[in-house]
Amino acid sequence: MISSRMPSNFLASRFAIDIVQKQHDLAKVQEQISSGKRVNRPSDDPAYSARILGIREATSQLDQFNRNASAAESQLVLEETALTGVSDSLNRIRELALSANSGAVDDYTRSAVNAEVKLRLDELYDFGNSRDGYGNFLFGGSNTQTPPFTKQDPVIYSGGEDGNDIAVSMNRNIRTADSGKDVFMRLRDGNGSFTTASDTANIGTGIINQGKVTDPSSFDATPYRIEFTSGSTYDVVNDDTGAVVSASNTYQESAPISINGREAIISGAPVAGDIFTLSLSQNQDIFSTVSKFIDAMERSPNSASESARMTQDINKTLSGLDNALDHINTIRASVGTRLNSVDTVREENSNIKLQLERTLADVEDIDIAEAVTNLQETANSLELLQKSYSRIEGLSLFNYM
Amino acid sequence: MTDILNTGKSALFAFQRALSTTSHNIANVNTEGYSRQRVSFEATNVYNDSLRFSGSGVHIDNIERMHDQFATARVNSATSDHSQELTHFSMASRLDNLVATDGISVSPAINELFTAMQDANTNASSTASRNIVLDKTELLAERFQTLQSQLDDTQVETNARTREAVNSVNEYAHAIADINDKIRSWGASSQQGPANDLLDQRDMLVQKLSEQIEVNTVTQSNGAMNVYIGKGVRLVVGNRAENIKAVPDETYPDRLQIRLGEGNDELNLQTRLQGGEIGGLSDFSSQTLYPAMQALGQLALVMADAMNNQHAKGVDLNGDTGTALFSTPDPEVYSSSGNSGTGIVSAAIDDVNALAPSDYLLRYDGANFTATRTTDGAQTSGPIPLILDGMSLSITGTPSAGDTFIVSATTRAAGFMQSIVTDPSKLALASKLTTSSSISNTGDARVSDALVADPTSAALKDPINLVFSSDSTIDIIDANTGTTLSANVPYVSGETISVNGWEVSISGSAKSGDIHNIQTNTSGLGDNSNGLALADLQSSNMVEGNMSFNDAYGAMVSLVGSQTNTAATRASALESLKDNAIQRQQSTQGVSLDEEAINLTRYQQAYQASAQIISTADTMFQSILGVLR
Repeated sequence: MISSRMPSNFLASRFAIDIVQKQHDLAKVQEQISSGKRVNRPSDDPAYSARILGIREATSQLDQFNRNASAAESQLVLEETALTGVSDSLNRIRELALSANSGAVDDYTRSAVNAEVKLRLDELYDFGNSRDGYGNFLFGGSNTQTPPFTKQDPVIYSGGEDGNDIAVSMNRNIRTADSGKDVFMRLRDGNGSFTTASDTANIGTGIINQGKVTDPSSFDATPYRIEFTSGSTYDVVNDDTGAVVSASNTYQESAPISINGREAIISGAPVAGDIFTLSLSQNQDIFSTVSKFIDAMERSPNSASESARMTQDINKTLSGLDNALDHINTIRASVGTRLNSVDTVREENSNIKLQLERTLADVEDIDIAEAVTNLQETANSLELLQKSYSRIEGLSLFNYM
Repeated sequence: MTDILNTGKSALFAFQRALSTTSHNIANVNTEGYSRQRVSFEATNVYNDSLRFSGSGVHIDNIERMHDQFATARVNSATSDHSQELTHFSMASRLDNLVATDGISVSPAINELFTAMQDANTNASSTASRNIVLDKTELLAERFQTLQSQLDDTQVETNARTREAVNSVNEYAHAIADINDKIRSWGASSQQGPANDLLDQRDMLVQKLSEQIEVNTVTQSNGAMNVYIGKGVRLVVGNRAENIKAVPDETYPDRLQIRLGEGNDELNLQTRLQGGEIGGLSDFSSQTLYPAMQALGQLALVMADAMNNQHAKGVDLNGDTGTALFSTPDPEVYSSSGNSGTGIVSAAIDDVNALAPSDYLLRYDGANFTATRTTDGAQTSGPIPLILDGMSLSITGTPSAGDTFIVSATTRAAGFMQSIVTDPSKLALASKLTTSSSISNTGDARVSDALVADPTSAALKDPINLVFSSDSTIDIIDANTGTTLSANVPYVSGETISVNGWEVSISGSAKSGDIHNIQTNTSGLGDNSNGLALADLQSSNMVEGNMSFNDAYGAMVSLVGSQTNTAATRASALESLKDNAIQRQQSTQGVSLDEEAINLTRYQQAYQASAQIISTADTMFQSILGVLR
């Protein structure tokens, strides 16, 4: 056996080094237990330390996205509430229009109807100028500071054209504010393709219905008018050019009149010189639909032709209101879809966050049982080292001399 | 009879001397660097009484210094290696404790800024939430400055430690030269044996010197030791010691350079020194500190630039274009104090994203400039104006061949990052342009929000009408002048239309005569489009095209962490090597008390026996005298 010399102070300094090392280990385990973390500084695990920063950023982003989602939700709920109100008002106006749409309605009833419709119109403006929790206008689009709708006929819109989005997840923005123009103004009149009207100067009692497109492929973007040349004949004229498309057609009450892929039905008894127009659909705002109804209700029909005109106007109001209700319901559906998305996204965010927190815990946190065992082992070995030192250090030949 | 007496006397003296050496060993059991000494006895010259050889006692041939010079050389090199890594570790662990600490780390400040931005986006016209965004821009700039100043402090400390180490080297060098001198003069009277304790002292000094720097020694025949540091730099020759000095670098005023000698003989040792504390400090600077500073500076520059660019694409609550959110410094250019020309180089950043996290050494050869990237040695050369990794260099005055400059864009940049917008209404969250599809359009097509691609375009704010000249073609018309910019552009639903530095797309079925309008945003100031784009920067890979801001910071943290970790691992491995070397050295030269106890007993007994010889001789003498009486 080869044994090298063991100088006296070497033993002592060896012990000193070992004890310092063990105490260092002990302090390290102790730090891990007290902080609950395996990685207390980047050098404890350089690769993961960058990842930990990334995960922290991602979790704080997800928290923020969920806060954004809550803000979006409250905006959308407010918008939905306002739209429900708009829809209720429109329904009530529709009921009033139906009740006014009978020959037996007298001036008194009309003025009662009119009084309510006027109130409902104010109500619509109020809905259009609704504010959110911050005092911002809900339907102002990107201009949240000025009331978007000014009551006037035609209405003046001073809101923004673009809506505002809120980011609710890494790749997803939710539109929280719709432009009032889109909600209240961008809807087609008539049947969406063309709109019919009877000329205000008509003398007969003819009434034209809303009409419909029968053949989209032959439907051309041209306005037409039907000119009666007698009580039983009419010409079809291109309303832009004045060119006669077909002349001296025979009028048959309630029989469809077809012009290039569209048809309309005229009922009643028109007379020579009466004109009905089939112009192309345009955007008509909800407020003017109601205003036109109010204008009609101001009138007091004294003749058969005036009654016919009243009926024509009320019919037009009803079709306008139906369009408006459809439009508002479509937007409500879109708001509902967005609310759903907010919920879904929020749940996704929470799930991802949970996952990230687990990963972070795996990466960063200590296994407490393991750490305590480590602590115990390190403490034991330090104690053993100290004991053995006191034993060995006592051994000296000088003790026996 | 006298010969017995003489033999006894010689033994008595020898063992007295042996006992004294043993005592010396025991006394120095805890003396650092002490080598145990051993007495070697030799029988005294025999003399020939013509009949037979007969011994005449003992004398001390030598007091031997138990020493293994190879083990000592090993200890010195292990000490130097260990000290190098330990120094690197101890400096790096400063940064290690800093960069991920909550109050200092830049990462939470980045998160908080974007969080505040998101909050502002949910209520873009609110002054309160805008104020928070500005607080956070301020916080971010402060964090960059604070961290940079901590890094600067670390550099100052590194320099101070280097100066101390240099002073120590000089002290040890002089002490070694002194001892050389003494040993040489001692050697002249070598009757008295070797100067064991002086040799120990000198070895100890060399070991201490090894803690500062790598050392090689050569012992001359006259006993003097020549000491070389680093790659063969002569520090001590005989009784003469050179002085090394730490002086400010001639091109980098805040860095140190180690030099030897004076005047024309002055020698730059920077690339020739390694090992020990000096090597460790230099490793720390070049491998941990400067890369960390450069990464931080790069992040500060890129982040400020990205935020500023996006901010300029929006308008504030007053309808004005967003001004810069942050200011950052121009690259620093240092001229070497040794330059003989009058040329002063200046650098400007053209493209922040092309900047490399490095400094550049610029050298003029009389015709061209050659820039060497300090991190990887990549070279670019050509005449001024020189384009260099996103910078362009210009010069005033006339440089001379051999002039050198340092171009540094990133190293100190983080310290000068400042948040400059303080008025909450100046935060440009709204889109610069607003688009609308005319309400009287008969087609259903809608125009998208406008994206500003080039905020510097002069015509950006001109109102433009996109008028459908047919169901499938668009005329682009300046709404102010009525000028048609381009006619009958084919319409493809959803395809990008770029005009005057902005981009929109139109989607849906269009009808001839439809009008879509793009104009400056004058009323939609509660708009958050630009705020959303600003917030999106958080997740965009803006730094070197593959890292988000936080990723880039994480990479720096990871760099510091792994340098610290590596240095710690190496230091601990080298510590075992050093312990082993010391153990080996000590197994030869260390004092064992047990061994000395045995020697003590042995020599004491021998001493007593020698006394007995004298006593015996005396008895013999008395016997003779008694016979005569």
